[in-house]
Amino acid sequence: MVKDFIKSKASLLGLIITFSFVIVALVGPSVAPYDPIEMDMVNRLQPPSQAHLLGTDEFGRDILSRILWGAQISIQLGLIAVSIGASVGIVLGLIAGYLRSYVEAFVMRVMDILFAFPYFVLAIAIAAVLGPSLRNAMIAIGVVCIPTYARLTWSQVLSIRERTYVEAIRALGANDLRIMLLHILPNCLAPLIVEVTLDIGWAIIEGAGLSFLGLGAQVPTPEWGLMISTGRNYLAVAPWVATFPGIAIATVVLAFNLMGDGLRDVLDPRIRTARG
Amino acid sequence: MLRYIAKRVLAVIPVLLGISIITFLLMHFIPGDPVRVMLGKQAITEEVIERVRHELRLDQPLYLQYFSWLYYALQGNLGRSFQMNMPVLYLVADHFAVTLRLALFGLLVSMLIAMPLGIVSAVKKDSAIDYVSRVISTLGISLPPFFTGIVLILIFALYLRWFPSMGVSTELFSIDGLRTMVLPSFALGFSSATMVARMVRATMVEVLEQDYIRTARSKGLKERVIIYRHALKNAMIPVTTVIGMTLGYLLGGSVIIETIFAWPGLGMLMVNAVMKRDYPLIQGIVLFFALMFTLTNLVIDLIYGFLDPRIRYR
Repeated sequence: MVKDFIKSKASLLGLIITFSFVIVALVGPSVAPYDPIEMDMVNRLQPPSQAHLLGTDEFGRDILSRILWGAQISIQLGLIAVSIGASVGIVLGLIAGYLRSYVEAFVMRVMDILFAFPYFVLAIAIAAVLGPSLRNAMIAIGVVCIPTYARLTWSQVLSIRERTYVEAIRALGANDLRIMLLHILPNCLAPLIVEVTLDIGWAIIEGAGLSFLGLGAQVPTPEWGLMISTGRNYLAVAPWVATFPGIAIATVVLAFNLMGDGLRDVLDPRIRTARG
Repeated sequence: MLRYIAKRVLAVIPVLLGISIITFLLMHFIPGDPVRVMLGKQAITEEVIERVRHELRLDQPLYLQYFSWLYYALQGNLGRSFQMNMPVLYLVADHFAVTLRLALFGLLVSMLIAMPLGIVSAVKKDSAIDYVSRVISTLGISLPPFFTGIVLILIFALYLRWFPSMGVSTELFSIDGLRTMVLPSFALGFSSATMVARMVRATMVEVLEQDYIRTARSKGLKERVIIYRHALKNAMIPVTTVIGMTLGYLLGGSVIIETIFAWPGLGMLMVNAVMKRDYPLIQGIVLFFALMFTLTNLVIDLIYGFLDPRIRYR
């Protein structure tokens, strides 16, 4: 399986970029050449140079340093938001698919209703209600993800619960919780892993979008979406302020998408069968 | 077909009710006292707070609040905007045309990019063109729409000066009107185009491997006829669903694009309402977006049933 994954150049590239991104997020703050928040008005809006490799912003802050610090925020945003969505969604999907009857009807109808909202509009509404902050942006994106995971898990559980081995375990006297957690959930994981990988990239974009609108991270946090938002006011005179954080987001999201696509090819049994 | 239509329409009713409950509850999820949060840090007396609480019917039990909100909402009364002191429905209706125009042009751009990209990629599977088009698709999905918008402004408005960087013309069918449409529509449509292109490619590849296509080839039909008359027609059925979803995505995506290009649509209205904590207006816009999205999906479901008769009998 690992061999199959690495054989694909795109997946390998995705894995390498993601790995580098995680390293940058971990060590970035300690290798950043300048303080990401401290202002230096003498050097404001400087183009890329040896002293400031990616230039400076409207307050003279080094853009490279801010991007390095921002990597940590972005990875936190992606991981926490998706963890919220995946954990709640998986539990709901597991319960709905396993218990069936009115629990299933209720949970899945609520999920259908959440699906009826354009997801970014729902994320904005939740962030607006909770108040603008990075933490609330993570919660908003997490909530928006819940129906996807609930539906995916539910559809997996529906087929797995009918298998003979589950019937055998039940006959041996295992309780429902044990069957759900130890015997059904592990067999649902393959498509969920693919979804999580793809969603981390998506959550980073949406989180940056909320910050761009002023609903996520607040100034002077070095968050990439916020950096693009403030940088767009200086597009004509200092395009580097907005473009470098944009390139950073696109690269990281691309990496997660490539990795997700690669994992889908390897983990999705239908595609594996089709490939022979 | 009539039975199918009735079934689909009836299935939408509980969803609409659910949408109304969630939208109604939004204001009740505000941490703390919603009235104090709404009125902000202005110097307000207890009297004002009580009056606003009464106006918003927040002094009634929750279920009564919901039913009275629903009763008025069904009559088109979604309350008044706090900041603009105007009926919410009037503001929503006033701004919707601009958003719809943007979403439809975004959809047009999306289809104009996605269809040729997806078809060529599938027909020339595993060729250099296929790889290039797949790279474009993957890159497109990874680009945040607001960044695409900014790059477009930078290149086409600030450097080349081909299109204006912001604003909307009241006259759509004029050169100036169309020029204001290009950048926002492209920024909005590009990322969804790459998603649709992937879908078109996947379904076309599947259809092109079907037995009836092999039969058509063995009959000596021209490749062009096989692709356009036989394969594309069937590949379009699942793509129709994606187009419906895309329109919903574009309606939601318009929020950010309108902010970048200073378009006075629903998206910008929503962002301003959020900044000013104008909750009745936020509630009205969210409800309207959800209704539009649900109705679009209903129409797509009906078209789907019309295109593929097997769906009607399931």
